[in-house]
Parts: sequence; C-alpha cells; structure tokens
Amino acid sequence: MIRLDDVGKAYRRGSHTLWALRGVSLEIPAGEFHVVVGPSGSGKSTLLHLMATLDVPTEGTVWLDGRATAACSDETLTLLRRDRIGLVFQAFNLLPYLTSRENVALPRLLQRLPHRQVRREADEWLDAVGLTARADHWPHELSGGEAQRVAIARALITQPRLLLADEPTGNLDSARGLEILTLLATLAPKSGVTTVLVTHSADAARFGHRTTRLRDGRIDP
Amino acid sequence: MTPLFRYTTARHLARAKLRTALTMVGIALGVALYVAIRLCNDSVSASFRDTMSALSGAATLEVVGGQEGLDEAVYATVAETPGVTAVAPIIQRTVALEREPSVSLTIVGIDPFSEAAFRADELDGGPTDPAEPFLLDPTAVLLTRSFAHRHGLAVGQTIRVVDEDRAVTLTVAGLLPPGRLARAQGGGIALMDIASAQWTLGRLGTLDRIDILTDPAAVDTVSAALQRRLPAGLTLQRPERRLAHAERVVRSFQVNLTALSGIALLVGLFLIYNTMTYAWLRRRAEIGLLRALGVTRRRLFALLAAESLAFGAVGGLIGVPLGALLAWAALGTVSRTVEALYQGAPAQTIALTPALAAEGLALGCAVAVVAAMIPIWEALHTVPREVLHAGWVERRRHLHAGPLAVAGLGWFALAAWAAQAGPVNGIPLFGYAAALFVVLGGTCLAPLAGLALARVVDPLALRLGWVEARIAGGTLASTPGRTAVAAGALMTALAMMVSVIVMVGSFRRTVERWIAETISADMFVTPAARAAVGPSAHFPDDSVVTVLRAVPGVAAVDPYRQIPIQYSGHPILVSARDLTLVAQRSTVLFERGDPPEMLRQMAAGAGVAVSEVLARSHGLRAGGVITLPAPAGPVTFPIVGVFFDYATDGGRVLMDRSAFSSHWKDSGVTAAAVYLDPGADIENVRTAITRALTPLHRVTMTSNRELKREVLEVFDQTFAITRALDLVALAVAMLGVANTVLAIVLERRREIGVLRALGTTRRQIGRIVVCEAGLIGLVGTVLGAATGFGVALILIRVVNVQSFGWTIRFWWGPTEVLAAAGLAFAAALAAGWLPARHAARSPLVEVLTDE
Ligand SMILES: Nc1ncnc2c1ncn2[C@@H]1O[C@H](COP(=O)(O)OP(=O)(O)OP(=O)(O)O)[C@@H](O)[C@H]1O
Ligand SMILES: [Mg+2]
Repeated sequence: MIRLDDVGKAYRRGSHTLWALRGVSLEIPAGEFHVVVGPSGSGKSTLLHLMATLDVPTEGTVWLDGRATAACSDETLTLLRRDRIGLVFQAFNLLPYLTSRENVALPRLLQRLPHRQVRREADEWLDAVGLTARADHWPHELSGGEAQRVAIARALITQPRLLLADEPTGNLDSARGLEILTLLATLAPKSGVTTVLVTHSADAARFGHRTTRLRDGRIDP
Repeated sequence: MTPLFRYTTARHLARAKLRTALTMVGIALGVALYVAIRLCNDSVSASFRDTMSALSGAATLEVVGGQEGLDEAVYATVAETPGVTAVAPIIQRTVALEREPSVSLTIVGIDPFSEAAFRADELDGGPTDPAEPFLLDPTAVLLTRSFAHRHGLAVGQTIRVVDEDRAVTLTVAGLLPPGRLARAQGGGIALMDIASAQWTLGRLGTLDRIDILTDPAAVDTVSAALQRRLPAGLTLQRPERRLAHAERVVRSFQVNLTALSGIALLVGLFLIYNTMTYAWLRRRAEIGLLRALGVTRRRLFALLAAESLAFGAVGGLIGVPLGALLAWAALGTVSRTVEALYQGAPAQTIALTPALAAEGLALGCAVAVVAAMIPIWEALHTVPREVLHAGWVERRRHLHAGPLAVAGLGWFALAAWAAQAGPVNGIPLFGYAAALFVVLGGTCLAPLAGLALARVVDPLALRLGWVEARIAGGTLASTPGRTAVAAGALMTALAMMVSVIVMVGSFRRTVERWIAETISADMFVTPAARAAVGPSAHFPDDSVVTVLRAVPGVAAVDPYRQIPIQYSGHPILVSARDLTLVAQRSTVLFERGDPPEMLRQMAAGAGVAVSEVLARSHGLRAGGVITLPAPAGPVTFPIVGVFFDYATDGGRVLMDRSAFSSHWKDSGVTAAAVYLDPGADIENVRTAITRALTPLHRVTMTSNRELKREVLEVFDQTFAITRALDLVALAVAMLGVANTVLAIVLERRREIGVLRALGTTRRQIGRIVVCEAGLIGLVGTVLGAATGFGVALILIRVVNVQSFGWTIRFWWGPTEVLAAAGLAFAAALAAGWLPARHAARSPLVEVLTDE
C-alpha cells in the first residue's frame, strides 16, 4: 500500500540544514494498523505529512499505490487525498461554519456526489461514531472528544484506502483518548483501511499490528 | 518608537504587507481626490481673481456703465470730484482670433498717461515713455509673451481679429513684460491706446469703466460725493464687488465637486475601518495576552491609535502629491467647463499650498483615526479571558444585525427629515446630509442583507451540489461584521455612481425634451466672435436681420437679444424675442397656462415671463410684478407666467423685443433665429446668407440640429468630471473588497489548509474565494443600486432645487444603472482574484501546523 525508500526531509534555516527525517525506509501493507511512536521532535508529524502527500521528501521516495508522490502534480495529489486518504488531526480542524453532519459530508460533496446520498452517508457515519444526536450541532458546541469523533467520521466517509492520524488524542484527557483509539481500532479493520497512527504515548502501540519507533528523525530499531 | 510598538505593530504591518499597502492606497486615493478637487477649484477661483485684480490694478473705486458702456463726459465729472487722486478710463472688449475662432483676446484700451497710478508695476520694464509704442500706429497693441508665443506672433506682425461680426486688423507693437497683467485672462490680453481702441472697436465717445484712486481711508466719503454727481444708470463700486459676483457664480459648481470628493472619502473611511477591524481581530489573542501581561488599556489605546494615525499619515503623504497630479490632469476639463458655463478665464496653474498639503494630510489622519475608533474600543473592552480563548469564529452573537438594520431605518427617517430643511447660505447642506444619511442607512442594512443572502445561498448551494458556494456562504455568515463593511464600501461607491447616473440622466432627458420643444428655428446666425467670446457677443444693431429677411428662402427672422443685468444683487439675463413669431412657430414651456396665448399677451404689452429659477430664488410668481433696472431707471413689469429654462442657473426674464427696445434703447442682436420657407434647401440658404452678409459681417451659421447637439455637448462636458470621480470611488471600493477578501483568506489560512488537505483542489479553493467576493459584491451591488436611487432622488428634488432651482423629471436609467451595477459586481469579483491566488498558493504543511 505505502512504501518509503530511504526517505529524508530537510528544513533549511539560514545557512544550516536540519534533517527532520533521514534514511527512513518502511513498507506498510494494505489493511495493516500501524503505529508510529517517538519523543517530541523526533519527526513523526513530518513522516505523516509525507505519507499524506501534504509535503514531498527532500531525498528518497514515497510510494503510494505504486506511484512516487514527488513525481505527481499538485492536482493529482489533491485528488489522491480526496479519494484515497483520510486525515485526522490533533486539533480536529472542523470547519466552524458547518454543522457536524455537514463537516462529515464535506469530502463527499467535494467529490460532487448528490446531496441526498451524501446526507444519508453522513448520518450513517455519525451513527457509527455514536453522534447521531449531535448531527445538527456546530463545532463550538461539541466537546473535544465529540469533535474528534466527527473528524474520524469525516476521514472515513470517502472509504479511503489509507487513514492517517496525527496524535488524535493529543487534545483529549486520557479516558477520552482511549475512547478515540478504541473507536479507530474497531472502525479501521471493519472498513479494511490501512491505518497509520502517530502518537508519542508508547501504550498506544498495543492497538496496532506493528509499531515503528522514531528517534531524531531515524527509525529506532 | 517604543519597544511595544516595535514588537507588535511594526511586526504586523510587515507581515501583512499587501493588506497594509491596499489600505494605504485606499486612503491615499481618497485624500488625492479631495486635494485634486480643492486644487482645481482654487485654481479656477484664482484665475478669476487674478484676472480681475490685475485688470483693476490699484483702483479703490470704479464706475461701470451698462451694456453699451458710459459716456466719456463722465470722466471729467469724476476727475473733478474732490478726493479723487487719479482717474483712468478703460475700454474692454473681448474679440476672437480670425484664424482660430475659438481663441479669445481681451483688448484693454488704456490711457498710457493715466496708468502710472494704477498698473505701473504691471507695465514696469516696458518702454520708458508709456505712450511710445502707441504713438505711430492707431492699430498698435501690446501682447503678452505667452500669447504671442502660443500663436506664433512676433513684434511688427499684424493680427486679424473678429470684433462681434467685424474683422479688424491690429499690429503687434511690442510685448508686455511678464507680470500679473500678463497672467490675467490666461495671457489673452492686448493693451491698446484708448483712443485707438475707441476708434477700432467703434466705440467713439464711450468708455466701459473708469478706475478711480482715492486715499484708502476716504473711500466712503469720495464714494458718496461721486454718487451725487454721477448720472443715473451707472454703477459705482469697489472693484472687489465684481470678483465676489464672479465667485458666487461658480460656487455651486465647486460645492458640488467638493461634495463628490467627500463621498470618495467616505468610501475610504469604510476601507480603513475594515482594515482596523481586521487588524484587531487577527491580533485579539495578542491584545488579550498583552492585557493579561499587564499592559494598561491606556497604553494599548495609544499604541493602536498611533498605528491608525501612521496609516493615515502615510496615506496622506502619498495622497497629497497624487492629488496634485490628478488636479494637473483634470484642470483642463474643469477649466473648459467653467469657461463654457460661466465665461471664466482659463485656469492654468495648480498651486499646492503648504496649507492645503497639511489639510490633506490631516484629513488622511483624521479619517484613519475616526475609522479605527470602533475597532479599537472593541479591542480594549473585550475581557482578556474571552480573547485568549482560541475560538476562531467571529461569534454570531457578536454582531447585532437586527438592531443595526433598525438603526438603518432610523438613518432613513433622519434623511427624510433633513430633505425637508432649507438651504444654509444658499448651499443645500441639509440636502447633502440627507444623501449621506441614506448611504449610512444602506450600510446598516448590509449585515442583515449578508446574513439573509447566506441563508438563501446555504440550502440552495447544498441542494445544487455547489460545495464551493456553500463554503463561501458559510464564511460570509460567520463573519457578518467584516463582510458587511466591505459590502458597505462597495455599496457606497455604487450608490454614488447610480445616483450620479440617474441624476445626470434625468437632467439630460429633461434638457433634451426642453430643447426639442423650444429650439425650433431652422438656423441660427451669430457673430463670428461668439465661439471665443461667449453669449455676450452680439451684432451691434439689427441691420443683419434686415439683410437676412431679404434672403430668398427665409420665411421669418427672430432677432434674439440677451443681456446680463443685476437683479437684487444677482446676475440674471434679460432675453428679448419677437414673441408673436415665437407663438406662431416655436414655443416656450410655461409651468402652467396656454403658451401661444400667453406669448401673444406678452407681445401685446401685458408683461414679461420669468424663469422658474428666478421665480424660486426670489419668490416671484405669475400675477405678481418684477422691477428691473433699465438704463433710464427701474421699470416694473407684470409677470404673465413662469417658464422652464435650463440654459442658465442664474435666472432669466423673457420679454417681447418691442418692450425691450423701448426701455433699453438697445437694437443689438445676440442671435438671429432664421425660419425657412417650407421646402427651402438649408445649404442653398446658407450660401445665399454668406453672399448677402460678406464682407461686412463675419457670422457663424448653426443649423437646428447642430445647435441642439452643441447644447448637449456642453451639458455632457459639464458632467464629464463627475463621471471620472465616480470611477475613482469605484476603484477605492474595489480596493476595499480586495482588502476584505484578502483578510478573510489570511485569517482562514488554516481552514483553507484543512480544505486542501481534505482534497479540495486549488481551482476549487480559488472558486470559493471568488465566490466569497461575489457574495459580498452581490450584497454591495443590490444595496448600492437601491441606495443610489434614494440619493438620486435627493440630488434631484433637494440639492438641485436648492442650489439651482430646476425642475428635473425623474428617470430610472435602467440600462446605465444595470451597467454600473454590473461593473461594481465585476469589480468585486475581480477584487477576489488576488486573494484567491494567494489562498491557492499557500504551502500546506506550514499552514496546518501554524498555531
Ligand atoms: N517548517 C519547519 N521548519 C524548520 N524545522 C521544522 C519545521 N517543521 C518541523 N521542523 C523540525 O523538524 C523536527 C521534527 O518535527 P516533527 O513535527 O516531525 O516532530 P514530532 O515528532 O511530530 O514532534 P511532536 O511530538 O512534538 O509533534 C523538529 O525538530 C522540528 O523542529
Ligand atoms: Mg507532531
């Protein structure tokens, strides 16, 4: 599904170059629930952004479905994100002027599907994350845990092949965080989506099939 | 610079370069417009003043005669009056160049030996014996260097000029030294010996004016003594009086222009308000933090006020020179308009005084600070905790769209009230205030209109699957305050355009109809000098009419005469026509009554008619009387009717030629209106007239169609500058919309980043942003068009009536208004382009991780 070949990402600050990621090779087969852990600043988010096609590597290649991301046009990458990838952020990133249902529906609307069908699907997904009662609420009326569940529904509604989550529990207390992780771990296998979960808490590793440890931008063996 | 300023304001301005620049350009344009109009107005006034004071020199009093001047014998009477220290006789006549019939030259006939006391400094540097240049040649004139240069004339050459309808040859005997006199009348001055001038211009035994010098302290006593000795029909006045008259004539024109520049400034005000609101919204977390860190309100206030002041100052600094540049570009048009309308001297120089520069600068600062007050107040009175809370939605509750709309209705009520009030000092101040209130009222409706639009767009877009429109609508609804301000700016600009279009259009339609009905003669024969001299040009007697009547193909000739007189301190016109002929072949549009019958009554000696402007300004009405100053003393006429007249804003009295000649002893003819026999060919008659009149008379023949076109051309010229101002206002509004949309984009960088991450293509992002601009544009356009009609109504029914007094029929101007609305909407869409690009290009990861 996704493969990284000797990938590195460098940030240039003035005269010196900072390698946020270096020499990372990794292959995640379809259907795997993969957990990336590592201390703060170790390059986890950088890695995820490369997988999400939000950024391209400085060296090495990221292969997505057999295609090198660096070689694709912005348009291709955008459509790839729209149709194949689901994203969950630490800060939820719901659109404030859309209701829960509309937020969930948004990716489908971007695909220009008919409104009626999208609405039905959105309601199904809200049901799946247990938020039917909150469908018409605005984001600022939701608790953090609820907002993140909406974000998960939004990420899954397009039935992506790849679900990427960057510290989805970072803004939540541990009980709520656990709920979210459990939700991800149950929904993901059900829809057969390949999942990469980034977190700094080592105990999240037990939710995944496999774990990669990062330290100073390199894979810790 | 305090460290606080350095750490906050300076950083922000540097980060928001584009927006900062847009705002400053907005202020600069507003200031520039104001400065430009002030400069043009000042320049016009200055040229009036220069001409008058240069020609009057040091005189403390002057005697002027009527249309035909005064008897030379008065000179001796004046000179002998005790207290009079010096006297100078003057002949003044404007002629046209034969080669360039539209170029005027004012011949000033002077007595070289009397001049020393009056205009000595002006003539200084010339020949030592003042009479020297004139001694040998009775056709000798002195020209100004600039005039000679402009028209390729050298000393010793002859020039042919047309005096009314006669060609005259003059000889350039020398050039005037540069000085005030040389600048008068835009340089179109020719000095001549008075005896030669009397001879050449056919004015033997008469003078136009006598300049008098007295001890300045004794002016009043001498004036009283002179008054006793002077024959009736002459006016004794201080020279400044003439200037005051001239200035009053152009004042309405100037006030109108100034009011228009005010509207542009108002648009600028919105722009700055908008920017300042954004500035604080973007920084409210920071402001909250600073407050939480213990920075006092007072210091924060000083900081923010200083910031807006800086905006204003920079805008002003750009605006003032820009205004000078604009004025320089527009002066030609303004000057031509004033020349065409009021026979003023051409204005030639732009003088940016330090005072005006300071005024422009101060205006920029004042506008900036006033506009920033509300946002600053809001910023300072928000509880720090609230601000620190990282909500990034402008809370819907925050803006009270409903109450604001009610306030808008309040403004409308206030406008209705102000529209009832009378003029202040002849200026329709309350009328302009009413127009402003209408615009303010419209602005107050913008938030509600925006929300309503969003509410309509929301479900519609969703149903139709226009997700971009849905997102744009959502943005609009979640930031009603800010989008309203942008819509308000656009609305104001469009309201101004629409109101001007409707007002000018209505006026033009009214005038078109008026000329269609009242200009009925087939041809108009005027002295050739008219093109350069204006309506004061006339045939000295009616011999031309006799010749014309005998030309084959001519059915009838109406000898039209028009002279300016003073009626209770105001310049008005007396028009004399053959009213029997007018009743038969043409008409006069009366307010009420049967025109042919009334005209026949007037021809039979029943009285005169007054124009509605005159009737309105002096409370005259049909059935009343009017007393006019005839040369032999005041004459009272019954008023038979009130008629519409759009040719002058000064008022007019119409009488039969017989009445006029018996009281004014004037057989001059300003224009001969020629009616042709049915079937006569106009070209043949033209040729026949030319043959009959040359070589004695130089005339211009204008056909009915040409005259109508000319009248409308003058009309359009008058409003050309107004239309140009419109476009500047629209440009300012466009900046406002661009600025707002850009700010929305910048503030929503993260949101846009999320959209991009979710798979929204760049093109879709661009569409969302342009759609946002379009929605703002739609609100602004609809409100602007509606408000524009309201303002137009006020301009026509209140401002026009109070400053001019014309009856103008309202006309909706559907196509032009639609075009203007389309332009405004397109401007709004175009304004979205830059922000759209910006939004689509932002790097993704940075935006998403930017906390
Ligand atoms: N835009 C950037 N410019 C410069 N350096 C950057 C940039 N983004 C990230 N870095 C650096 O790259 C390194 C890795 O960052 P990254 O965000 O991937 O860490 P992380 O593992 O996600 O940390 P955390 O757990 O705190 O989120 C850090 O040292 C960071 O300072
Ligand atoms: Mg991270």
